[in-house]
Amino acid sequence: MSQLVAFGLPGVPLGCVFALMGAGLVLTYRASGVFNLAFGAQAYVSALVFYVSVNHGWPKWAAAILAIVVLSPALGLLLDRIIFRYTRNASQFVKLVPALGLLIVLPSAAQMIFGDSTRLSPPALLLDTSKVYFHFVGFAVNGNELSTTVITILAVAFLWSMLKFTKLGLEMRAVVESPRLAQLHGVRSDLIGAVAWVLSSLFAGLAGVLLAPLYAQLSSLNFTDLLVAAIAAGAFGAFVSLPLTLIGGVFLGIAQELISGYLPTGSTIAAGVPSAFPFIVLLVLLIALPRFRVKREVSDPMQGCEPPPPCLDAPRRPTAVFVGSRILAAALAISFAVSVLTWIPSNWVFTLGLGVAYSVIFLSIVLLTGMSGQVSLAQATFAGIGAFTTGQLAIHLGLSVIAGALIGGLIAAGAGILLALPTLRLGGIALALGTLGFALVVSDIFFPLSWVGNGGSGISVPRPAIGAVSLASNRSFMILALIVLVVASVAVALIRSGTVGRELAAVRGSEVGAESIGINTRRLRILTIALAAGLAGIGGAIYGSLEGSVSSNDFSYEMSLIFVVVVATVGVRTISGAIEAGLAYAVLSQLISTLPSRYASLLAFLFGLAALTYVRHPEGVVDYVKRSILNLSETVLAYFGYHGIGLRFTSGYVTCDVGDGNGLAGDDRLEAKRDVDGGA
Amino acid sequence: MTDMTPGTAKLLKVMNLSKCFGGLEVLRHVSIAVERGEVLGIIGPNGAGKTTLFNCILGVISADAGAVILEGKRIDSLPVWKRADMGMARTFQRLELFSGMTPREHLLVADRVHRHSGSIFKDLRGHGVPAREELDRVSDVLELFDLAEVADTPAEALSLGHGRLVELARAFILEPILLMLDEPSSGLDASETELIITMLERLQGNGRTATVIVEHDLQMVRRVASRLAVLNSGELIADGDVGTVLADSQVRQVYLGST
Repeated sequence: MSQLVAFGLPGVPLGCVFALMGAGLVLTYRASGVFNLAFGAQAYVSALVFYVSVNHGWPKWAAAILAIVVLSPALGLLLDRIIFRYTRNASQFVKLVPALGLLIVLPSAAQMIFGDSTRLSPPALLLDTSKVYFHFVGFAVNGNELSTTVITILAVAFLWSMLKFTKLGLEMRAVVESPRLAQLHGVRSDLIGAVAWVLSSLFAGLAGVLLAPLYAQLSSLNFTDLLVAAIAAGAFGAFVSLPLTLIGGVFLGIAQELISGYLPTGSTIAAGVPSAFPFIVLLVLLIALPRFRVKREVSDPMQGCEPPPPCLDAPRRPTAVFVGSRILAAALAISFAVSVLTWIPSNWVFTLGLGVAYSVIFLSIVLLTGMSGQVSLAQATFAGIGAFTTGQLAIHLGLSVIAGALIGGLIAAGAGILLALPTLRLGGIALALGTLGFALVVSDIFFPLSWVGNGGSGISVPRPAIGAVSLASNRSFMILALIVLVVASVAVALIRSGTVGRELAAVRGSEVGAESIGINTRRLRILTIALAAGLAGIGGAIYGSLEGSVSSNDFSYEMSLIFVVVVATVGVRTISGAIEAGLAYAVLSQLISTLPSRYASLLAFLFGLAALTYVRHPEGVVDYVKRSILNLSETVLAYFGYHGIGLRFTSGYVTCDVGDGNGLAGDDRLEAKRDVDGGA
Repeated sequence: MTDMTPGTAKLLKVMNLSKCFGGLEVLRHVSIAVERGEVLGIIGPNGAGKTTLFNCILGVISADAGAVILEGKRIDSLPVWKRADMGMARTFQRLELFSGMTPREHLLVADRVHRHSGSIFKDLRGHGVPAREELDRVSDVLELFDLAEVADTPAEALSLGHGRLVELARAFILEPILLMLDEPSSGLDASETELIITMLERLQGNGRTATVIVEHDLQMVRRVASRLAVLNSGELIADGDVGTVLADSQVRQVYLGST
């Protein structure tokens, strides 16, 4: 018993840390409707500003005012004005993409501004970090533990009463449900939404400065990891209840300490389990709590006011432009293939080969997110499963890399089915979080094992050989990689235009409607997740074989987040989007790696920044640019007297459906459509 | 009232269906049967349990007690899609169109699902694109429902009347043996309602499909239904010929008030 207390008690302050971050997450979610995965990044920025100002000799109180009271709320206001005010009526995925972008942008921007030097022993704002203030049941309570515990309890009590009892809290909740209805009732939705962001950012700043001294070193990774544990704490209260978040956080802290106390030391599994524990709990909670099974998001009764997002450019182009762009694309593809096989230097062929591998992985995101509307934050994990399988089979059984890649794809698909079965019932954000939990469990527990990924030191993956022909050189390997990419692209294109693609489109359009005509949505979901996981696995195998060796760092959960951001930014709806994203990502990383080290995160910063545009251009940057070029050419032609060429992009739909859809009467609609079509 | 002996050739039998939401008893031992080819109208005041009955029959929610039997097979533990596969098609009060898809695509996907003629392997061999005969079949249905003009307009841009017709056409192409309509005239003006009625009468022509209509508009039910069932506070209070039921004093009292 006394051992139980001795092991468990230190978990209370740790649990309060989870709970403090969890409370911030719940606050943002309830007050702004955004599942703010960037909360940890916001906290990190404040902690960094505090650290830098104190190091410059500022008094702590002045640094705290700057970091917590001035900078954080200003950042929150800025984010609301430039991004999140446009997302109030949007779906969870549309809200998730800029949050993921921010998660990447904020730390990388801070790193570029303040430099990437190592920052040891962050200063404590309130109590002396290591000084023991008193003993509790034989447990020495130091300043850190005391302050986090007390502040967490106070903060949760304050936020809870604010949301529950104040007019502001009520209005915030109303705005999240339906900004327009709230507005009709006299609530200034826009203002309340902005206040919600200011408040939750203030809270992020406070959490950041308070939590920084818990770590030996100030690093954005600690805050991101902490956030994921905080998500598990928040799940106890279904991301709604603050008191349950506190209880959940403390429970997680105690349980984690108990596990590390009782588990035998030394084995790799024992090292992974305590840190993976919160994610195991997160997965269990998501699956077990009926609250998360709501497939449909709470729909805003006035959502119909919003015009639908523009559809893709390609299917609406006039025939000449359509044929022309196909010819251009084919010419580009052929000259690319010829170039990499002839004149491009070998080191650049290597880089482009990585781009091809990324493209295959990104195709899985197009299949899963673009076509079926599901969000997976575990695609890098599936890629890792493919790469490690290939490597291990080659090392231990001497199996050819090509066979290994296929088996790796199959195993990844199997893992996908394992993930799909319990998470199928989840919708929206819960599904995304479930995949994130899965990614963390796999990379913390399985990838470090010597017979899987051997942790940070990694394993080697050979280059393939077909019979006596070795594909060891970059150029010869590129032929294989290109063949795989072409086969994968054609397969995805066939699926999209075939039965499965139509059924997926139907399910995305209306799940209830799809079931009512006899579509087995469950089977369809499992199939898509398995296909996407398998595709990512094969892409991972190519990546591994090209790199020569792979470690768990290549397939961390951060990579999954970056992948989603990159593909969403470039174009998640089209196959060409995946290929453009893959090549751009590889080439830009190569270019940026030649810059000084403080710009190492410039690439992540750029893509993260671009992801912020996702809200207004969900069709992707590439499609947007193509469309702008067509529109511009039409304008130029019109200037010279050629009207109505039909290049101008039109979304073609105009609706003002309200509630149960009392649209315009037929003639008005035709009139409106004609207006939009611009007389073309 | 209705024949409840097992083994007879009823298309659908609902037996002793009960459902509680928390402490609220929404359906109390409701038994009702539908014969092949007939049109049954279900009416009742708001909160009578019409929609719940509808949802229990279709499997959207599961009943606490009782049985639902389609063509002699118990279906009350089957998922929605399986029931649809057995020949139950429906429309929705609040439209459930596939947003982003055109009416033509709605029908293509429904037709393919109904015929079980597609699979991922066919897709991968390039046989997934719509065949000539499928396109023809879909065009015919679009003609039949007066939708040819809007066949290639995205669902979001359709008027409510067209939306209801698309749902009806989508249900029709499934060649259902039981068609369930949830307030088909709600939100429509007189001429649009007229169009829906014409379509329903045309559907009745094949004599194979039975139709169940939950509806507020009594005038409309009167014109299309051959039999009427009245629900009040979760109980079935009348079931019979339209004329007989509407003349029933209890029905007049609870449903029609003083009129």
